[in-house]
Amino acid sequence: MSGLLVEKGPEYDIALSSRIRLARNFADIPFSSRMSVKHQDELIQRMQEIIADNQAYGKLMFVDMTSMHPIDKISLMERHLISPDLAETKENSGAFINENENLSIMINEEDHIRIQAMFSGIQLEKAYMVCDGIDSIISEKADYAFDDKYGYLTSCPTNLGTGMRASVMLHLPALVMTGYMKSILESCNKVGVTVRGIYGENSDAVGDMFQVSNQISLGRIEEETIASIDGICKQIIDREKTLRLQLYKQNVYKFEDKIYRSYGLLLNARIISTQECFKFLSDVRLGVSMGIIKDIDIATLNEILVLSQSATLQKISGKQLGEDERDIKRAELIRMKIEK
Amino acid sequence: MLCQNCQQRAANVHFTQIRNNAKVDIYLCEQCAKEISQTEFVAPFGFNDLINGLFGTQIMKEVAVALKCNNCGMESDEFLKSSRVGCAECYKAFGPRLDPIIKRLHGNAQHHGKVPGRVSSNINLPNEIEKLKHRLSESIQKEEYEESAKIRDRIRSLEVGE
Repeated sequence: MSGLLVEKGPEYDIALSSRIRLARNFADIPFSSRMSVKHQDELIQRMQEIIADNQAYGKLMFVDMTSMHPIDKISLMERHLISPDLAETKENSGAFINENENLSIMINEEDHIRIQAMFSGIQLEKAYMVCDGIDSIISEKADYAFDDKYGYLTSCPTNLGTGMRASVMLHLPALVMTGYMKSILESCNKVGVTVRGIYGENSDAVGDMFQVSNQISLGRIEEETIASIDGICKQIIDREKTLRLQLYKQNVYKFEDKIYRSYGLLLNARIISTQECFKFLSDVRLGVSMGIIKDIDIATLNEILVLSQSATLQKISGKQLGEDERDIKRAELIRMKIEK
Repeated sequence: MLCQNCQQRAANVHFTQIRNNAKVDIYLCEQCAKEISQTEFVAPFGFNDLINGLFGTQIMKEVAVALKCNNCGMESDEFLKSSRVGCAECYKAFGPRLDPIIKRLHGNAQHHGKVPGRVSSNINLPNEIEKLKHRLSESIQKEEYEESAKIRDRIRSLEVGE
């Protein structure tokens, strides 16, 4: 089980995770759009040798996309261990994943390799340290495509420079309720910070979850980018907390009613869709975070959030399920997790 | 909202397009909208991020001479469609065309930050000094004076070495 779900990093009730991703390519192999099957195999082989030699970051298992069932792939994506792009590719790609499920190295995605580490709460620095360490190990074994002017060379020019994306996933129901989220999106945009839905690019914001990340990777050192995302997230969290209290004080009964209704549905409904699940979980999370609901903890909510998603749900059920069956299974799983 | 093309001025012109049966909204500032419409706006927006659009506008302005990367065979047209280069050498091959776009995307075009281990150590130096300066200001803020002094000495010795 993912360590991320039970870990309690700083501000873990609002900041679900902090993630660092480094995009890297090797100098002697064409980039993904120009790679032959032979190149792809060569790259997997190379990475297997490098990883096998190094156990500094625990045991990393290679999951091969070629032979993997689509449900398993999507489940990995739902757990943020691989990207939606990798989940869609058919063959000659894969990822090294550690036991704790907070570190993964994707192979043959948009770039040759993408190193990713995740921790609970606001912990970008820690995530960077892990990525940086692995990156240095790899760079000792093979030459990266690197340029003095453009830094690490990537398939897409948007990732040039450090090749780094630092992102924090935030749960911001009060900012959404009050309509302030819009102005936050706009001001973030002005300072080169992107706010997206939970699966990154082109995904919608569901369950009041947002991913805050840097837009610019060229021209700023890693530490500076991390410090700025860190600072912005802390400001957003402060704002969110203030608004939560204001909303609560404005109308205690209405506020508590909204939370308890969702809690009631989560506990008692027999059919729950993904969308409903996200909504109820958001309300209940708000209630737990504010100390209104006391008999359930954030770790359980994190677990439900991940396990109740369609592919993961089918994976733990051990079979493919139709939409109606999934909604029933989801409701069962939620009750079981809460009552446990 | 910022203009999706220049990312600098406020967007005050709104285009709506139907692309692959999906509605695509484009927000531009007056200046960029004018420029793009003058160069016959053929709307490469909305599909592959904005670089597609950026690169397209650029090319239309310069009446494109097709460039080709001798290493991997990627042509500028192909890059235009996918917004992905084919290999490390493409950045050199498309250099003059790409540089202004990279500047627009990132606000500048000079890397600062980590340098891979297997690159000559001289290149590393300016980055190392910059990193140390960043750490210095942090440690001063945290009032860790002993640590600050150590970092300051290290910066000095590196600068003298330079």
